[in-house]
Amino acid sequence: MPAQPTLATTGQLAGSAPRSALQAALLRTAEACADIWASRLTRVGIVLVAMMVLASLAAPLLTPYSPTTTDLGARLLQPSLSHPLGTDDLGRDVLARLLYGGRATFAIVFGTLVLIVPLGLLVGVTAGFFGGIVDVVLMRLTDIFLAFPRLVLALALVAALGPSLFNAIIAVALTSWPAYARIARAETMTLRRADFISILKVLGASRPRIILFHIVPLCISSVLVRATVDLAGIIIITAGLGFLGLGVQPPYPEWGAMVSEGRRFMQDQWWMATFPGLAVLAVSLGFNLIGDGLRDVMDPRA
Amino acid sequence: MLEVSRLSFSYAGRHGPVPILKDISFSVPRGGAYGVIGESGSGKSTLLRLLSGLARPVEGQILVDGAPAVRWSGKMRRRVQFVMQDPYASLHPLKTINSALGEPLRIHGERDIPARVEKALAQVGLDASFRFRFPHQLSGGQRQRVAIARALIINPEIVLLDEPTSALDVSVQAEVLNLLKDLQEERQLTFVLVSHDLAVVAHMCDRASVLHSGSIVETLEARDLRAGNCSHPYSKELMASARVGLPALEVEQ
Repeated sequence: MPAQPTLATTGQLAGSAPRSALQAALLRTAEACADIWASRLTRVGIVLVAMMVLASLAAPLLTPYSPTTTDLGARLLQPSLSHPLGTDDLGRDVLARLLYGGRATFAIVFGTLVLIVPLGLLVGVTAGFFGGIVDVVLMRLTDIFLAFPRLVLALALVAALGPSLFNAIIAVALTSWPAYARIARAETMTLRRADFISILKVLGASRPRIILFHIVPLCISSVLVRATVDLAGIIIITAGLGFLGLGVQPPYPEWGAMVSEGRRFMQDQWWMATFPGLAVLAVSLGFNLIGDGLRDVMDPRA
Repeated sequence: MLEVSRLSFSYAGRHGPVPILKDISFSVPRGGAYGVIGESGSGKSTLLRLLSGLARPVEGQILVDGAPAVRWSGKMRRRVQFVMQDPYASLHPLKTINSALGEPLRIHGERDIPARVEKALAQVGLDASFRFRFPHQLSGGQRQRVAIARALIINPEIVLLDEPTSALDVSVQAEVLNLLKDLQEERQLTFVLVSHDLAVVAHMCDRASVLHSGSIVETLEARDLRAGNCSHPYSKELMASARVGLPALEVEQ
């Protein structure tokens, strides 16, 4: 069960009575945001991730170089004023590739999130609410997916579907949803016997109505918390796929692929592999910090 | 209005069925209030779950206005509503009061929802400033008023009350009981009230049965209940033990 926002319970923001549904929702959101923002580490995480996302979106404004145009005269240049992070073996600016490559990484991360959260919620809540044979069938299905190591399953899927950005999203999503289904199921099992759900049955609410409007909203918070912590893992799997050449295809940049390309030059041209590696590290760290903060706010037991 | 005949319920245990209710029969006229007194484990909450359609009886029948309550669909649903014991558990934590009260109307596809929500709040003595609050911003008594408003908003004829005041402070108990009584008179509601509290039952009900390990051992009229006239040894024991805690509540009689 999600916890009440602490600010609301202490009444700092709840003093005045809201006069409309919108105002009530805004007040509640503001309370939750204030609680999340209150932790310094969470703030660091939010700022870190926001900076990376904005920088990759604003890439054309931040660098004059193209991420794909090769310039063999400028191969493997050290970091300097004109190339702050140096150039790679084909003379492309590493900063430009890093900024544009963030787009692919974030596309995969958010694409995966958009797929797995609804899918996991739907499967888990349905299994938990109906129980019995529905539960058995759906949960054995998730067990099958859980039985494979994630990276290996993702590799197999991309190998079968063919390497591309879109297929990488599908592969990562298919390997990530079972955990969400399990969380949503556990949450639903405790909720389905709750008094406020029984009352809805007495009032004559249909089962889809109870599931979608009353149980799902209560499961979203724990699923989202898990997702935020999981995002770091998703970034690393994405980078892993890219590293093995199974994600975004060259010449388009992607952080994992950049590390892979830079590996050959690691001894003498350290900047090629180091900076994309640091980017993966920073974003993973950022998402982990946000996830921890969200969990502290939504689940005071942890 | 409500007729219960030979109702039995048991659940499957490891060594065969475990009986919870045995052969329960009673009837309540329209506008009447029927009490069921019993200690915890006597099966009184199960009885209300059966009457509300949340569980199905193993044997026996529930008749509402002569019609058997077999399939709890549309119309039957609206006629019987339920107010639960714990107002901290019976309201959805993420829904405003407005949304909680509007939900029954939306379920039954009714119109004029905002106006009716406001009216329902006023009827249970809550002013409009509560409308867009969340349950955690309300006290126990206020929550129970919301739960009562929610049960009554679709105009049921029968209201099942499961210890409606046992989770509340003594000072708030009387308020909520009087509110229920007023609403009952105003709308000719039929009540089935379940409680372990003799004083509450005596205050609210015209007749009451004493439930002991799943069977009705004795049925009493309100005045016998108040006077403590009973014949069954278990009821006597119950009366005697209740008398110790009774003086505080006898004031409101």
